[in-house]
Amino acid sequence: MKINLLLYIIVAIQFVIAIGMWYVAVTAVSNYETIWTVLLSLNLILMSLLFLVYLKHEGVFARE
Amino acid sequence: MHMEEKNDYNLMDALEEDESPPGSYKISLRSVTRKEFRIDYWTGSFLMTCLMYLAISGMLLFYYFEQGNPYGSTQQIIDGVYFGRLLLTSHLFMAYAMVIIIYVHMFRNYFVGAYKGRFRWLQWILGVVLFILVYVEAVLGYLLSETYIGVSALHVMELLVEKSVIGRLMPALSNWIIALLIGNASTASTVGHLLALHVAIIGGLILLLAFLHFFLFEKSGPFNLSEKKGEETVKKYYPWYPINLIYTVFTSLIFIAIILIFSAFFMQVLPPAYGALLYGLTPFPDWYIMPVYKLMDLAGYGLTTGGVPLVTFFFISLLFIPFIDRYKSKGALERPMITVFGVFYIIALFIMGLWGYSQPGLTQTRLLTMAMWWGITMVSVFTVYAMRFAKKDLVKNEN
Repeated sequence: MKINLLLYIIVAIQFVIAIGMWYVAVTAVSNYETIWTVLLSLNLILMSLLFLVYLKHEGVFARE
Repeated sequence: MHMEEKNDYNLMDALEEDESPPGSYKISLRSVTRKEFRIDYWTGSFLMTCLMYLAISGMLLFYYFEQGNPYGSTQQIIDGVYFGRLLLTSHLFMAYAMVIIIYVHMFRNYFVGAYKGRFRWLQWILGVVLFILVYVEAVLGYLLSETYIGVSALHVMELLVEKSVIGRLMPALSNWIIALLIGNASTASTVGHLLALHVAIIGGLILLLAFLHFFLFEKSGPFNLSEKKGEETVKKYYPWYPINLIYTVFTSLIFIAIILIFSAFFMQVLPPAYGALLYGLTPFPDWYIMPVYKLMDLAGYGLTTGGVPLVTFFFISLLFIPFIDRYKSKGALERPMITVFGVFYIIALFIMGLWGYSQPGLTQTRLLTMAMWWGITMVSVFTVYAMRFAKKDLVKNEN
């Protein structure tokens, strides 16, 4: 897979999750904190995945 | 020929420009080699992440906390403030993570002997001071909500100051320390003092020393254990910006995400308030103080001659490790007695902690105490020397 496509897919998922977080926050359903926090953590992990792809591309994790 | 004596203790050298790696500035953020992108080289980076997260979440909590109504306002943060419970829980869990990672960071650098060499001895001493300050900060933090556990801990601290060597030899000093802690003993005054200590004084000192610690690290670089003499390889350096920065952000984000998931599923429940009617509840300290708490029972010689001097000895010996350790070589097994001390500390911490939870406040006999200390000593000496012997044997048979 092309690296750009992978990055776009990750960002798209993040965007969807962000809309989910906004929805949970404004409706304030019961247990909203737990749901919102799990979504936020997912988003953070996806963000770190973005950086991981970049670092891998730069050859940081390649064997010498 | 006149040989210039090597002086590791001249701190003015820290202000001079580095020669290698290329491209670094006077106050530099170092470029790193590929070999250094290993998780055990980055324990300090996780601590910086903790520090930043705690500072930011602490500032947000500060808006809602009232020193005249500590328990009520903490309860209000949990029940009434939007996302308040998450904020409070993640502040707590990040602090727990910080204490755990401090131990990992400290013992990693202890066992590899990273406190040896130029600036590193001072880095180690600053690190131990930071360790003590973080513990003080953590304890102050849990005194703030005025639960029955917090207030009991405050009473114990007052008694320890009064009845220990400080109080017996320098009563004026002990009075001053207690006045620092509790003010005029009204709730508003006590919590106000504790809040100022937690937020401004100890917190500020931690920030200041952490950045000094980090500056010295940038000067001396990561401690490289596996670098062999005479083996000159061309190293590829990655610049601090953007590779190093992105790696730091990458590890920090995963770490924060893990802490947040924990906070989401184990939301904090506030213990009962001080003064509430309680039956059959023993006030337990938090887990990170449990070993010290049990030590006070276990010493069997009373507080002034047993527990307090032992804790003091623990910290003083840690503080002066760079000067105690006179072994020439690096590596854990090449410095056997130092490693024995480290193994002893680790085993003792776990045993005391677990024992504290199973039998809190139950005084042990001197015989049992002696048996336990000598037992741990034997185990740590034998394991380290057995591993040393095994390694020598392996090396001999390989050739």
